[in-house]
Amino acid sequence: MDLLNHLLLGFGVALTPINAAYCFAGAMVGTLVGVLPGLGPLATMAMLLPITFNMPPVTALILLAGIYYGAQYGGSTTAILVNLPGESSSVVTCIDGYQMARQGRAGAALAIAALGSFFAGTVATMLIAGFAPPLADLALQFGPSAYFSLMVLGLVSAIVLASGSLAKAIAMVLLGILLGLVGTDVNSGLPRFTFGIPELADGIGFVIVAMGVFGFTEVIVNLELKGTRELFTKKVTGLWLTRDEFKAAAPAVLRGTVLGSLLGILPGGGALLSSFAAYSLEKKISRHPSKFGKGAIEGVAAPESANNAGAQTSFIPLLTLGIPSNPVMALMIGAMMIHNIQPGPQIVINQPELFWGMIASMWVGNLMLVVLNLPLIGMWVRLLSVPYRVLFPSILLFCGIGIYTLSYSTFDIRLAVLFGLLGYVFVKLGCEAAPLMLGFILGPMMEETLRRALLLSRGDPSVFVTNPISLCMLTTAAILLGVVILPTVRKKREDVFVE
Amino acid sequence: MNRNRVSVVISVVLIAFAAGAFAQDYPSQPIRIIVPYTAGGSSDFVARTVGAKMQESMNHAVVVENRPGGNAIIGTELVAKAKPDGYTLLLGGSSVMAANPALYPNLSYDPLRDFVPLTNAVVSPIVVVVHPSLPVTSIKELVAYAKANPGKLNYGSAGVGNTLHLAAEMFCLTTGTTMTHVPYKGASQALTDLLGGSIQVMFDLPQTPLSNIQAGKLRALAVTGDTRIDVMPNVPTMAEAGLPEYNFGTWIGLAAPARTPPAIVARLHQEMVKALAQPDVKAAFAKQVMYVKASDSPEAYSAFIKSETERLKNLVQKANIKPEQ
Repeated sequence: MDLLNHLLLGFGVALTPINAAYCFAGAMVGTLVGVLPGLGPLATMAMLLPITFNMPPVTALILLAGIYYGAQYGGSTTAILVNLPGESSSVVTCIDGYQMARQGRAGAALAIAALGSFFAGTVATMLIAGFAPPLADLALQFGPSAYFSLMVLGLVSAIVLASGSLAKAIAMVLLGILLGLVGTDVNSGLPRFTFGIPELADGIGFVIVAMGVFGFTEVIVNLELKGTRELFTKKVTGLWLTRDEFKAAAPAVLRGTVLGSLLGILPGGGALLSSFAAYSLEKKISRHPSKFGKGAIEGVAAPESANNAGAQTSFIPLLTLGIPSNPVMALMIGAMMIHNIQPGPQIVINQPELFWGMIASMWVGNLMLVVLNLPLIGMWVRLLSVPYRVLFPSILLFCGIGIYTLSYSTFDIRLAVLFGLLGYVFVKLGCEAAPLMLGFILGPMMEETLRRALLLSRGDPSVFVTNPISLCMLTTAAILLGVVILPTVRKKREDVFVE
Repeated sequence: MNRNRVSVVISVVLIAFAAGAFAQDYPSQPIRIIVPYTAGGSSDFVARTVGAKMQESMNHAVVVENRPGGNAIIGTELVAKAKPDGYTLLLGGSSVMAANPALYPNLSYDPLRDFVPLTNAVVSPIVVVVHPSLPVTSIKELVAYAKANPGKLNYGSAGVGNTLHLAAEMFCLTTGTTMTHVPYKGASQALTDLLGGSIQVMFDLPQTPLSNIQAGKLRALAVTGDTRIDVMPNVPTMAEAGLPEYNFGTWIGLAAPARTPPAIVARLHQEMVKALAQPDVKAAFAKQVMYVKASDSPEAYSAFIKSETERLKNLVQKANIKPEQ
């Protein structure tokens, strides 16, 4: 079969000693970068770009790709251990992963994150290998109105995401949207909410808000608890998953993979949205939604699989259409340019070893990562037993360094601290940060696509219902909203989300 | 003791003389080329290629740093305020040097006052691409279609005031047509919607849609400039297609902060022109549809920037393009 031949060609390329070595190097560097809060794969890839000049093109791309998906693995580690999302896609993992760590199940959380990511990576690689062109065409069907409706669906799921009161969740989503609007408006070129500060001209960075509201807040909250903080983790009960946990997590991994793979293809939305969506889906269909937010393993398994699947499938628009779906892919295009390769529909035909070599190497990289990460779980869990008075300054220091590397600006650090304080206020008020983050991502995208869709239809709002994909999404959102709101309206006083 | 003191005095005296030979000691630190865009774009590519060649020839480290943000203003400001010692350079082109002053009346820098232009590096034409479903096969047909359906055609750009936006507005002014501008947060997003058919036209740099044009997913109508593009041999120039009065191109060049010593400016100009003259550099750029066009001297580049700024100021005024900062 053709596919088999292609894959054999690909593995032949990926498993040459030099390519395998660079794949490993990339994955390792990526994992380290993912663990370090703030410093992201994009900055690292840009820094390492010069050393790829003298490498053969395939090797260079394998190295860079390895850093990218390696970072997805590493990001979950700090999210689980210290509630610090090392990567923007690990924000959702913080919610249940950290709670699992507090209950002594850090090992299990880390294990399922690694295993789920590996499974998702394998499936995603298969998808790319077999279905890249049709998936890319599917992505092209998503015009602005369809995107908008997808965002609406996403926002409705934000309400599902929260465990507290409905009103507070909505308030946080709205606040998130407002924060997301800071920056320059695409459609008019005018700055909004920037107060004349040039660093805000491009908006507030997601990583800054996430680190502030999750990481710094957690440090503040823990310091407030003073003495009791030392007894942070219950005794670590085993480093592996129990049978029950495995049974619960497996279907979550599957669902997360599917969702992540699909969302990853969409340019712009991608891996970030997939982890949130996967979490919301799990919570909605779970028979015990109340345990989400308190250490449900599905709440770690699904987002982790989703974000890894999304990270891999976001290569599809790049490899098939030559269009980058996020800044990391744009860097890959830059790397290809340097090596005189033209990304686009021609690559599969003109340079099959490159295309299939990269795909095979992605799977090899995923395998290396799981082999690398699983034994390290013991070491990571040991980190939890470090006394907090030593741990928290290190956290703050690494965060500071990490944030600084984003734009070499101390303004960013101060802003993150501000968000840390704000997060503390949220905690005291009993509001959750996750809906804020989702509103923060989705709000601006919603506005952009809404205005663009209306611009294209010359102000005619019916375009949202005449486009079939858009109609589909909006109907689902309406149903979801109904299912979520109805019980609350009926049982006025009783809050379905809190047990 | 006495001998030591004498040698110290002699060394100090010699150092005093050595200071006069400062320009010969350049470079003694790594030279940074600041690219005010994220890594991976064409400006970045130019900086890295030229930088690598300079590093070889000067036998000294030349590094590229990406400082994106604020429509390239943040990176540009950084170099404007840097020490004028020849160790911090700017890679900036038409948008930074000519378009930004035209678009933002309160711009925090003035290209000709805060910078010493070194040389132009490359120029790039603009290609007009349409979605295949649009019933036009030539530029003339596009103009006719646009005139018959004013405002109906949607064209995408990488943002308000962006080069692609300006190119399109120039076209509309030259041909007396109106098309609706749909801004995006980057050329690739616009390209995605063009491929999907939500927008119909794009005035783009050739390398972005190149692979899709070659695969037949997009139709290229014409290119600006005097010659056809090698990788798109069937696409006529504007002149050949019957629209010689429309001309728009982008250029990328290098600059140093103002008050950089003239000896260093001359040295940098010389090194850059040397790097740009290398055949492998020319070939690498040509593959990305960027043509090497070094300036004869820093003053010549300065004059070029001035004339381009005037031209774009004119355009921005006539087309009423008004983002604010």
